[in-house]
Amino acid sequence: MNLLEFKDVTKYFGGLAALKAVSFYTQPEEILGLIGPNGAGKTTLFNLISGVYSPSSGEIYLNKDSIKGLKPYQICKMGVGRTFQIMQPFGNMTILENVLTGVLFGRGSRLQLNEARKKAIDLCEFVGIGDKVGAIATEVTLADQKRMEIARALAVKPMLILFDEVMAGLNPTEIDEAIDLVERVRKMGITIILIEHIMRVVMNICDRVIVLHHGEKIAEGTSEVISKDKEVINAYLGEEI
Amino acid sequence: MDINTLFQVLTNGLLISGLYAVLTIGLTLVLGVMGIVNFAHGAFVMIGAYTTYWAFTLLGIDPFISMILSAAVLFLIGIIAFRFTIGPILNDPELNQMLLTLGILIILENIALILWTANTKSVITFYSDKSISLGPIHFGLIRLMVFILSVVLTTALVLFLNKTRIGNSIRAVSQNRDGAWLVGVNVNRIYLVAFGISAALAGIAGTLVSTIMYVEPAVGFRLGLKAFCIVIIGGLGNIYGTLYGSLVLGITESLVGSYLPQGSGWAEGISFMLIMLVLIIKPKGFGGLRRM
Amino acid sequence: MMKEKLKALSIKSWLGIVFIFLFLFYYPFWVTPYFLHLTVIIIMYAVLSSSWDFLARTGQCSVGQAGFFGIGAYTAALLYIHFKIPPILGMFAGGFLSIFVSIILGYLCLRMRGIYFAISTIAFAEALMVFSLMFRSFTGGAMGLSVPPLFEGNRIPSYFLIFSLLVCVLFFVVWAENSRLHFAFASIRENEDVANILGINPTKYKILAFMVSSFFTGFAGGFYVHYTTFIIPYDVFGLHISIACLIMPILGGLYTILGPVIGTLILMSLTEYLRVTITYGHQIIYGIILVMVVLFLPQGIVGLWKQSVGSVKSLLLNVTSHEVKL
Repeated sequence: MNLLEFKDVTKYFGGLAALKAVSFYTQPEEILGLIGPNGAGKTTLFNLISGVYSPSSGEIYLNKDSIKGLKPYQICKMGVGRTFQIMQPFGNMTILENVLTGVLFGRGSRLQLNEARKKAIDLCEFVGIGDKVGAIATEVTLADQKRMEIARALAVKPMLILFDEVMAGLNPTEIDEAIDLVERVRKMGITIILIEHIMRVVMNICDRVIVLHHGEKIAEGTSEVISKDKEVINAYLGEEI
Repeated sequence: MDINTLFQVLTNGLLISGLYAVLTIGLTLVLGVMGIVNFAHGAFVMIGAYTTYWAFTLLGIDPFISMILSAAVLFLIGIIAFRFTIGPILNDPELNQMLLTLGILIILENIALILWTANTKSVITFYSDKSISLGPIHFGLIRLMVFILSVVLTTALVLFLNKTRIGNSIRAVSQNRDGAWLVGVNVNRIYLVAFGISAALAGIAGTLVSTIMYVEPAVGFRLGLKAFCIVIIGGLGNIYGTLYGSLVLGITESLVGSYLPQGSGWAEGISFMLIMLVLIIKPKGFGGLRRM
Repeated sequence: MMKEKLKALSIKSWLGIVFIFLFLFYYPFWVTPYFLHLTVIIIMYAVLSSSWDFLARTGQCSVGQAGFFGIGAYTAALLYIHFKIPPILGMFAGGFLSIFVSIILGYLCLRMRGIYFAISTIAFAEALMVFSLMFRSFTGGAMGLSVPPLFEGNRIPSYFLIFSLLVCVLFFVVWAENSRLHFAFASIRENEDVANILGINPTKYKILAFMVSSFFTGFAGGFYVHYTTFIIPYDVFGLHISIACLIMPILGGLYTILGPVIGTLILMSLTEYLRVTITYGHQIIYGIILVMVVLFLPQGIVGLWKQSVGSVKSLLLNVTSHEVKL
């Protein structure tokens, strides 16, 4: 069963169409890449999934339920987690408190504070910052902040997780660690959609890739297929070549 | 409900909206240039009113002449206030700025209370009760003079901003601070000057106010809130919006004051109700932050 | 989590608590009437300040608490005058009406960010003051309302009443701080949109905070009118009350349990001292503190407070700390 389905989704901001008639669906437990030049509409698509925006037309289904018009917290509780392109930690809280917030209010959360705290610590250890749980969220390295965001997204018990450029700004070693982490998340049975600009990452771990350009889906397929797609090459390199 | 009365009421509203425009324009300037919501603006107006009162009472200076004195005094106060309290917090969160300027309002209001008590004062000149008639419409002389002066001042300000070098620098800073800095504008000095001008305008408004209303320390907060109302209606940092908002407030108050039983009491509440109404409908106010 | 903390307290701490209770219980019998009156007013303001702080935890900085204070006062007074409703019931009524109004106001103001919310609340309280002046036949207008003194003028039961109210507020705050509510509030305050994406419904928690804070503020208003026996609109709707509500927690320590109380103690003592030395303009201290705090102590005294903590204060800390300890 397809977890997420976009049917002809269009989103207008004023007169500008950020997304035009985009349709796709996710396959169970896959890692789906979402690529495209800047301004293609990738983050808008994420915002539509998590409920920050509502589609101007078209339908979005999560587990066959329409999520059009639902508020972000409702969609979260249905099983969607995400990270942010520009990081958004709760700056006056510790790492643990950040993740704990996700545990307490995510999908099916009925945990007491004690159990929730334990769960949060486990998550922090899973992503690799178990030793930094008491640090203030803004006072750790970039890589650790990204790990925290992933832990916080995992905390809401998602079936679908949206990673918005989690590798941006990382050095090659950190990128390898991040790739490993994403794979481990997939092994938890979670479907992943990944916005990424670093092509070797996309080619490496994505089962399939969707390419957006000017708000339209111009290609979809395995990373091999789309790397040879003429339109995709044109979109990234411009029409001149 | 005859047409003559209606015209009279509208005229009164128009005249007072001139005063409101002068009242608000300083606030608009500061908002547009540095994005600060200056709660102390009303206090500057109050000081302008008292300056005129004392100039009149002790030295016999006519209010319309002591306007210049008010402007000078408040320009100085504005510069000092900016240099020591407001400048340092330009990059602080909005709420901090609100608290600080509120604090300045309270300090100034209470200094006035200590020095001059809460007893109301008035500026009554020999021409205070004169009026001019145009057909069935009467124009209170003072109110007419205030209105004319308001038009002159507002026009002068617009000209200043568009035609002088300092004015252009101010506009540049308000539109693009970094760009202005790059082309050699001394941004910090412009902030200082703009704030001083805004205070001076408030001082002039205070002078005009003293000729029409009772002067007391609390008048600062009340008028400050009216200025906020106008700014919220007209759009932050937008001079033409200020004129529009002044008209809306002035005429609404006049209509309510004349047509509602005990209207003058209700008219005082119009600004509060308009503030809530506008913010509820448009939480960011009409027009948004449009630069001058 | 609460139970563990209570069990963890040592014998010394329990003795300390008992001592404090005895002190607070016998206090009204020892002090002079003037100081008792001052204490009652200070405790009432501590209720107001804790309530404001509770609301502020969701990022809603209200400068209009006087609105609810006045609603409570006028409700209690009018209920007594027209229907002979006993004072304490009237106070509850004032609290409940405040809740009702806060729900409406809260919904209307939901989308307003920081400073616009603040301006709206100022307008709210001022509008109410105009209403109470204009509906003269109903509210007594500028001539005000009179009610007979609470407990026939005996201030000792008044002291216990307002003290119980403060204890209620503080218990509420402590309970909230040790539950998920703490995280809901804190994350909404930090970043409402991200909190939303993490499954927190901002509307629900913001309105909840508004309801709780306005209940206690309204109740305190009802207490005020019966205690002082006479009010005019300015006394209960005036901006000075709203400002005091926010200075006290900022001074004493935002988002803590005892911070607002301590801030109240400091501010009210200073204000009273000034009031007896200079007749007009003693509220200047409010302005001075606001300016000083923003310029020099943007973290409030909470920064100093945390530093000066010693073993003597660790008992208080156990009650004030809300940090999640490993």
